Amino acid sequence: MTRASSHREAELTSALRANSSDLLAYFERRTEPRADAADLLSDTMIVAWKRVDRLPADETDARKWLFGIASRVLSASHRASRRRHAAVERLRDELTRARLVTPSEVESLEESEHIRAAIARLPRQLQELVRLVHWDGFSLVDAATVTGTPASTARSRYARARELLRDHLGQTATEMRTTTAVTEQ
Amino acid sequence: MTDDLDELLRRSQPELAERSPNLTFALDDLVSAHPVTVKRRWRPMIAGSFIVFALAGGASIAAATPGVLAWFGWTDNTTSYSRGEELCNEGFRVVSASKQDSDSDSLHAAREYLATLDIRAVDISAQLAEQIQDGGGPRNPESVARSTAIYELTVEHVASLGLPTKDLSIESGGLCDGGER
Repeated sequence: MTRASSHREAELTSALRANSSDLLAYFERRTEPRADAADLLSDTMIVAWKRVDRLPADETDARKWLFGIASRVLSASHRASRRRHAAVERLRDELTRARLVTPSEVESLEESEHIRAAIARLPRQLQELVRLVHWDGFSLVDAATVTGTPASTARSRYARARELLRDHLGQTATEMRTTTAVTEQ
Repeated sequence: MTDDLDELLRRSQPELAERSPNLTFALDDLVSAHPVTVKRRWRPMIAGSFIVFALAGGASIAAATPGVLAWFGWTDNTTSYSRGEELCNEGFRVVSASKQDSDSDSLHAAREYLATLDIRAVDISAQLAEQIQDGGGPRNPESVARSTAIYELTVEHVASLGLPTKDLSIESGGLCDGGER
């Protein structure tokens, strides 16, 4: 192993440590059963290690690069039986046993589920942009990088997604305002 | 409405597993485990490259069976899958990469392993993602990903027996009914 490649591997280990919880959350938000998130994270790491020579030096770019791999792993995932590494099995067990935590932003589980269903009705490429922006905290430009989409295309897709969601959720938004108004009275 | 929509979307985040000490430990363990378990990047030698025969007409459905693959010599193992409206049968066999030794212990062990491998259960997610990551990708990404995964598993098995793997190669071939390529 050369000193340069050893350095790259150390950088990748560091990038994975910094982002592994968020990458796991990325898969948790999109995978059923939840334990499969461990397999997908493992696949993401395998691809990252094989592509370590392409790891961006900048930390923010490295994060986007890792999420880009995660996005592709998710789209390529097959639910075949797997030969699992012991560490993946451990993480699967922990995910299965773990207490679920509702994000602080969520006010009503029912409403949250209803909105997720509306997102799931969008065309696939639009769904992913919306989730990356509103669940994973990426800017629209960064979400475009993660999905390998030109920024202009991402902008028009995102606008289209919002338009469709307004249609789907218009009723919900109205009900939400009404409920809030009634509660405040 | 824009604010309402942003607010609604923000409130739609699914639940996450609690980042307990145990889960955090398992996650760190996974990150630490990979550098020692993942092999260096390599390209399998798919000696004959991928051969797809596009058979036209109704008779091709009957013709494109594992039996036909066997007739072509694809006897180690086969699988079937649908590609759009096509039904494809694909076969794999172990060959000597150097073509110099077709009867080594390594080749025997690899052939025995491949003959019993459940090809349909082989997970090709990582290999597919790797191809997409490379950009473009081959014309038949699933077949190449499957060949790559089978090669990896076979090499891993032969290596676990303490046998050399340098001369191992996997050939793959396929037959699809109908369609022009």
